[in-house]
Amino acid sequence: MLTSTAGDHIPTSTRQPAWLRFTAVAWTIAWKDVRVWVSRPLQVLGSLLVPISYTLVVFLGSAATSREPVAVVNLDHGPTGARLVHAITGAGVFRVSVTSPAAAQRMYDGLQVAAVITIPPDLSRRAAAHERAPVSVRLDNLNLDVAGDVRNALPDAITAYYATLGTASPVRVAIAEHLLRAHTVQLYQYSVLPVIILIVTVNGIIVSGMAAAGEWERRTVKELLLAPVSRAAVVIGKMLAGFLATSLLATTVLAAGAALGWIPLAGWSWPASIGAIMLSAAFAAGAGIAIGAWYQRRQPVTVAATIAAVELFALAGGLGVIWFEPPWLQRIAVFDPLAYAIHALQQVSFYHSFTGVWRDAAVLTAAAAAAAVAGSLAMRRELAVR
Amino acid sequence: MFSAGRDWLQAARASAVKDIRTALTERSTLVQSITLPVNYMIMMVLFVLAGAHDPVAVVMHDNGRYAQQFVAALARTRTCRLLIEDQAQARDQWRQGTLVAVITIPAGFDAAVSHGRPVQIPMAVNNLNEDLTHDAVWAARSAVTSFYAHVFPHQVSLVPAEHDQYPRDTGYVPFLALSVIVIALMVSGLLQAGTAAARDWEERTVKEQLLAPARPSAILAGQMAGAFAVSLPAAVAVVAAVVFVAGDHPAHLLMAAAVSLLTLATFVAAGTAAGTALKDRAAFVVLLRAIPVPLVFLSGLFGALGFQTAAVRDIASALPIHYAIVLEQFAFRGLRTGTAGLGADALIVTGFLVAFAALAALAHRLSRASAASPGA
Repeated sequence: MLTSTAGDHIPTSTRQPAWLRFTAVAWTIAWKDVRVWVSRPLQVLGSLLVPISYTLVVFLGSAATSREPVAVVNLDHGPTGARLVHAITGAGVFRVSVTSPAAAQRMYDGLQVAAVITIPPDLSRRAAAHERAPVSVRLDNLNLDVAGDVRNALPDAITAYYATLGTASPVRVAIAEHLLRAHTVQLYQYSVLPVIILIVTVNGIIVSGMAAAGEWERRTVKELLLAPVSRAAVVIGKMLAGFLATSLLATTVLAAGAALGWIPLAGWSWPASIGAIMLSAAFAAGAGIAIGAWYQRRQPVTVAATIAAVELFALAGGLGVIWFEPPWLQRIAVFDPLAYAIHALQQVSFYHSFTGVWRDAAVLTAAAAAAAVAGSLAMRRELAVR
Repeated sequence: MFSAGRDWLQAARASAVKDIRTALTERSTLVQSITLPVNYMIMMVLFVLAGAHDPVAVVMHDNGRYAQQFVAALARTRTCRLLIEDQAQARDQWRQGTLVAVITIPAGFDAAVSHGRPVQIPMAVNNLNEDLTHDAVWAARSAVTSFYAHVFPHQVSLVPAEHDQYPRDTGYVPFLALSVIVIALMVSGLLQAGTAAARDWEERTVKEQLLAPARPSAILAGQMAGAFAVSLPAAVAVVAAVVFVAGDHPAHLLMAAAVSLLTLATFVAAGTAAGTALKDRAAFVVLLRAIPVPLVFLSGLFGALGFQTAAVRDIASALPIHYAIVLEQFAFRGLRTGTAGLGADALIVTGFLVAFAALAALAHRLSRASAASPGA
């Protein structure tokens, strides 16, 4: 005997155990939702565009905030000017064009460079005489980021110049750097894992949310909710569609990242990373059901999915490192499941460590369960209303 | 002739009023046209915060004058959040992974500096990624020159002499907020116009429109005017947030208003074309979520377009967003970030408006055949 959503006792047509029938119902609903999803190629394309667009954003963001282009004009024919030019180009913090004054002026006026650094003709003489020798910086200070980069980079190059003088240098203070890790990953590489979690969240909410909202739009929700099956099986089935589609997509992105050498996956870090993705996908799919049942129309679901996912992502420190964010943001992130998802994925993928991962897994499991309950309650509410 | 003109205007007005009334019943779309841009603005703020508060602990085993001045030089770099801690505190935080770096001012620092003896400042760096590592190391190294320039100006002859283009720096958040205005205008214009155009096809009301004794151009113009009117409050709300929250007060008020209206009209036309072509609101909104943010990133969001790579420059030059951002940056802050000249930028945006309107008319015309088919 099974209990229907309406509370009646309906005889089972087969002798299947309850759990098997539950699984069959959930699987049938999930498979139906996946087929409906695939039958809308424009929506599939659109949902694929989201991860592509955010990956692009990560690349562009990391490229745009890195090395500024500057022109260097060396009017000094002595050794100091040459050494300083070498220090500026060797610092690796600028994209340097060593050029003539006229060309530098053209580049500056044409907004091709953020600054023109002009080394005065008498720099070597002044330096030898220990006289003050100002190095002119004409700076396009249109915002603090560009201006700050140039303002810090030139003193850095001057420090590097003095370091080349050895014992003759008047600068006797030096920084002795010790890096914690043998290998430093690039910013875009580091950002790939948070982006995978963003993809999981956006896609999971959209697929499940659209599947739920679609039932209201097509007016099939009544049949679904009044069907002689467990409501939990309905909700789990709907979650399963989002979970499968999202896990598959995110695992493909993970594999692509590993193939490109951006994510150093090896051995057990493969299943651990996929596990972290699957837990995050379960949370996103549950949240999607709740959002879909709340809005009951597909169009607002897509926008709500973006807003919810992007906010959760940003508040989880997805744009940086949560431990280095302001304290108020860290306090918010404690309640954000994506913070745990990002941490778990980074620990197992980048650092091949389980430190804190079990806590992350527990939080994600609880969040997924809570989201599933919220989705179930949202659907139950609608049945009561109807 | 006057009668034909009057009829055209009446039809356009009726079409606009119908679309405005329908749009006002769709509160979720109205709310979304505000929440999406606000969402982007919050993201921008969090993006700026992410790179501006890297915590660096300084452990001082020497509290002398020079040591204090070196820490002051570190603070002047403004690339990190300095925390003066004792060794135990710094060690605990380092173990927890909540510090980017620990800089230790060694005992005897003052004596070494005053006697001109070499002294090394140990700096442990939590090199999670290149960007964080680079910022922390950069700050420490540039602090060395800055320290000497302040403490021993006669020993260090090489010093930067800065000449700024603008009397004041524009903060990063206010700068990015100007691009958020363009995102807001783009998203609200596209969303309202695109969903209105697609709705007519989804709800099959387009047949009545096409069979009505009115010119298609009047109906289309009315649709655009309706979407423009409905988008306007959302655009005004976001501009107000940028002015009063981000502190971007317009340097040229009339120009700021004109540029904003022109930009909104351009994206309303683009939305009408896209909505008519797609005929599906959900698909349109999915595309709308995916496309605007990368396009803005490709259009000179972070600085002058000339500072970007050649590929980004080429893409941005083919998009109206770049020219709209350039115009807003001048109108609000007097910043010069485009190379084409302001008049040319305005003409290019106007050209896009005309082109999108023509595309909308073409999509409408091509769709008439499918609407007229028996199965439609």
